[in-house]
Amino acid sequence: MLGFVHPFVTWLAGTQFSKLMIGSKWWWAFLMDMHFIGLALLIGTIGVFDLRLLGFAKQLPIAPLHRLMPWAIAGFSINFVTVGLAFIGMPVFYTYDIAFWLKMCAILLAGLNVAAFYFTGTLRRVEQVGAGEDAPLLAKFIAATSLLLWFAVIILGRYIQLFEDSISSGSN
Amino acid sequence: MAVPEFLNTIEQSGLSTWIRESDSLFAYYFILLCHTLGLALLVGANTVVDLRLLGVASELPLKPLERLFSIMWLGFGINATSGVFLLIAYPTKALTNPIFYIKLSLIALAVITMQRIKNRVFVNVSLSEATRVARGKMMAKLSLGLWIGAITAGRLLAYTYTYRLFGSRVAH
Repeated sequence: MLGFVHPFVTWLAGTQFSKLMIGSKWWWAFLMDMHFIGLALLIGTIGVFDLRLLGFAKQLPIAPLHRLMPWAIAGFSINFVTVGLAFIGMPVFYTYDIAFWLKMCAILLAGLNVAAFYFTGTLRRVEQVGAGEDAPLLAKFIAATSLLLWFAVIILGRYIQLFEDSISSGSN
Repeated sequence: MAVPEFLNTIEQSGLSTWIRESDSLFAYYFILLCHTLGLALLVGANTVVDLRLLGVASELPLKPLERLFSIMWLGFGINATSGVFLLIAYPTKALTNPIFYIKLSLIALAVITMQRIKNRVFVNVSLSEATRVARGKMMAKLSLGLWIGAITAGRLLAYTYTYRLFGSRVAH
C-alpha cells in the first residue's frame, strides 16, 4: 500500500540531514525529551478545558479557561517539529510502522474535531458559559471526542517501539 | 562496585520475568503506556495551575482550580504504581544508573512543591488572592523547572544505563 512512497523515504534516509538526526543518540534523546514535555503541555491544557466542558470543576468560567489554548498550540508545535525531525531521521522505519500511521490518523481526527469546535460556533456559545453552568450538549460531545482521541494518540505513540535500539547502535 | 545479588533475585522472579517477556497486552509496554498517561495527568494538570499563577488566564478564579490537584494525585498514583512494576521488571537497569536517583529526587521535590502551592496558595485563604498568587509565582516557576527536569531524567534512563539486566553490562 505504501509502496509508492518507498523511493521517497529511502532517498530521504540517505540525505545528510536525515543522518544528522540519528548521528548522535543525545540529539535523539533531546528530541524525544521535548516530545514528552510538549505532550504534557498539550494534554494538560486541552485536557483541563475538555474536562470543564464535561462538567468537572464546574465553577471555572469557560471564557478565561480558553486563554490556555495558545499553550496547547505551543505544545502541539513542539511535538509537530520534534516528530517531523524524528521522521526525517528514520523515514523508512516510521513509514512501515502501522502504529505511527494510526497515530497520525488520530491526530488528524483530533484536528477535525478542533475545527468542528471553532467552525460550528461552539466556541462562541461556550464562552457564555459562566461559573457553575453547564456547557451545551454539542460542546460536551466535542470535548469527550477530544479526550478520547488524545488518549488514543498517547496509546498509539507508545506502541511505536523498538527505535531506541536502532538509535543506540549509531555513534555516540 | 559489585551489583548486589538481590537485584538478580528480583529479575529471576516470576513477576519480573512475566513483565519483560510476556506477550500479554498487560505486560511491559502496557505498563510503560500507563506511566506516560500518568505523566500527562500529573504534569499536565500541575502545568495548568503553574501557568495560572504565572499570569496566564489570570481571570480564572483560583478556588475551582483546586480540583485539579485530585487529577495530579491520580496521575501520581498511576505513576508510582506503574513505576514500581517497571522497577520490578528491570531493577538492575534502573538502580545501577545514577540518573534514576536524580529522577526520583526531582519527582520528590516537584511533588513537595505541588503540595506547597496547594497549601500556600489554595488552602490558606487568610491572605488576599493577589498576595497568594504573588507568593505562588516563584513556586510555579520552580514547579515547571522540576517537572521538566524529572521528565528529562526519565527520558535519559533509556539512553544511559550500564546494565540492561543483571550480569549483562552494556558497552557505551
